[in-house]
Amino acid sequence: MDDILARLINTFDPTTITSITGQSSLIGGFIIGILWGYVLQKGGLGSYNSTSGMFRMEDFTFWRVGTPMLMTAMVLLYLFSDLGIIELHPPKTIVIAQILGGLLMGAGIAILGYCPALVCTALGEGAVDAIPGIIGMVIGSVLYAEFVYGTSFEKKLEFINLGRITIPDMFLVFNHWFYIIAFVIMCNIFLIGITMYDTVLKYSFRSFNKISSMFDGKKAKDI
Amino acid sequence: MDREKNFLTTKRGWPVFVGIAFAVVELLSFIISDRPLGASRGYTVIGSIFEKVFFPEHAEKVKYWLLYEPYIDWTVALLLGIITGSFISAVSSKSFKIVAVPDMWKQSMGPSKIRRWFWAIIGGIIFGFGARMAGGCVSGLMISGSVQLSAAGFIVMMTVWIGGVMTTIAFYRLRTIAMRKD
Repeated sequence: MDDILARLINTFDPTTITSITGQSSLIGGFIIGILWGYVLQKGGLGSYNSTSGMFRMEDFTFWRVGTPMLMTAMVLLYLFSDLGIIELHPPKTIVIAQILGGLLMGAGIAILGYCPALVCTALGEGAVDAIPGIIGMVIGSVLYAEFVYGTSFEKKLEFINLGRITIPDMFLVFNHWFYIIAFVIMCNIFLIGITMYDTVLKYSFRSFNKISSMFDGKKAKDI
Repeated sequence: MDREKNFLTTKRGWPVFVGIAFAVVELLSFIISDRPLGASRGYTVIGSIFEKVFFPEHAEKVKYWLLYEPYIDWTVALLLGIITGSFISAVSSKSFKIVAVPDMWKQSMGPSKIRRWFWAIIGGIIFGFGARMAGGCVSGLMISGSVQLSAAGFIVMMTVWIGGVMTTIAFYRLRTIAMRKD
């Protein structure tokens, strides 16, 4: 028992709480986590109904939050990186592994109804079914580490490894702002369309509920 | 009903405003911590700590834990922060409610709690495995990747959408369309 406790204390590194900035600072991570969880909860993203409703084509909260987020973040990040304040860290592109992994992730979200950040948001909101989700994600990561990493299957997955590449690098375009402007225009058109569709859908569901409750002889809940 | 509406007491923010706030959080993460937002690394580190604490001899042999060292790091603090922030937001807007089985799940799969917990663990395992295979999760790879114009972000965006819709149709079958009551 004492051994286990000693090993548990050994996992905590006291130098990580000395400063706020820096890649390993726990205080910085906690502050950003509070802000992020607050924003996710206010957007209504941390509920099973909005995530699963997106895949059932009934609820488009995700797209209505995601599109302005993508275009604003893209403009802000590239602006600050051009000014030299921040440094970008694009992820690695491994084509086959990401196609297969993306399909598996989609399957997981469809069944569980939360993604890793939203599981924590749902837990803070009071959804108890987030706890088995968290346990399952830890088990899944351990399974990958135990049985797949380092085998020949993993080598086959990394067949097309492009490294830390961005789209302007790939197509050898003179300036990345060309892509950003195109993306922002596309996002705006998409956002207007999806908002109109979502509003129509919401009112049609509401009127369907009212009519069906009229036939049942019960009074509809007015929300 | 006469409570003043401010940023603490509204239940749902306007989606565009929430999206812009999300983008500012992403930027703050780059400025303060010099790394993109990403959550699934935290679960891997928790698994690594678990193996290190309970099976230390076995954990030495697993090569994957050289990449994900068993020390409490930024992402674990981030996960705790998300729980705290979401709790603050839910309590201040009075929307905190203990829910065991979500509304839409009840309409398509029945009100059984054991069934929901069983499928939640299965879904979590599939997600965790897929996230490790792709090298990141929805926030770390899809959102943070595509805002930096990385090709990986757009590939994952397409495949998550395809996989999610196909699995939803295969898994809920005839009860995919659930009538919302609110």
